[in-house]
Amino acid sequence: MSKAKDVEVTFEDQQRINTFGKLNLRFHELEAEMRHKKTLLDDLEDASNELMLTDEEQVRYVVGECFYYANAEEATERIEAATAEAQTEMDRLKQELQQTTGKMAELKQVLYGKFGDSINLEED
Amino acid sequence: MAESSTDQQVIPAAQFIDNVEDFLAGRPADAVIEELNGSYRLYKAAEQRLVQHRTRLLGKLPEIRKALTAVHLLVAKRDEEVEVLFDFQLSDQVYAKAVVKDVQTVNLWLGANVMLEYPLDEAVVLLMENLKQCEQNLETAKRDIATIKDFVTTTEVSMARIYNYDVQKRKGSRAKDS
Repeated sequence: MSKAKDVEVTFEDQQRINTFGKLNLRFHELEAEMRHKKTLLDDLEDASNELMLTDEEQVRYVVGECFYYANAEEATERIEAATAEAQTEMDRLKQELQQTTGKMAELKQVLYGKFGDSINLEED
Repeated sequence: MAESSTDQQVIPAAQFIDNVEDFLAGRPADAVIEELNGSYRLYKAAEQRLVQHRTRLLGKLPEIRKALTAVHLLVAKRDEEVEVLFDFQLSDQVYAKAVVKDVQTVNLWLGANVMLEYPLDEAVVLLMENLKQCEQNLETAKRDIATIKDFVTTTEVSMARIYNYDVQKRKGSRAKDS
């Protein structure tokens, strides 16, 4: 295995490794959440485009398990509100992802600096 | 719908090994690794349980939000005093029209085959409460997962360290022999 020449793992190192593990977990959660949000945003955009093209004055808007007859104006408003909400969420997720990868890079530098080849922080 | 957090089992925390030699105290490395492996499996099982719990909660969240939007719509239409036309599902593949006006109450599915009729405003309060509860439970689950993740990582590192220590020691004694 590794030829760690007496590099002792200190409690602080262990803390760093643990933090890295948790960040990596969060990283994957964030990615999954962002995929979901992206789909939602795409769907909302499609809906909004369709609404712009249609001549119908009434459209059916999904609420719960039902479709409710909304006039086009109301539907547009609802979609805009939903888009704004999803976009805010998306921005928050993006920001957190950036912070997470930043912190991971910092920890990588410290840990590789100390342990070199004796530690592997990459995904398979 | 409202349910308290996890089935809390007490799981012993993973200990960080300060010094491998002192920790082994003359015991054979394989036996100690095997012992750690036992706790490792325990942690992994607990982690899996918690992740499942979290997934369940995550699935509930959009359900509650969906119900809340529907009730909010009913409230809005009641306040505007207009009637609304709905297509609702009668059975699979069949939808029927319904005119909804002057709605005062709504039936909420509480689970366990129970449905209860609530005045609209009370339904909103209840659903909001459930939403808050669900979010809180998610927070707890997140914290629990983080803790167990620390145990898992610590144990992994401990096992690797003992293994490496043992390899080094064997090499050392072999070098002396030859």
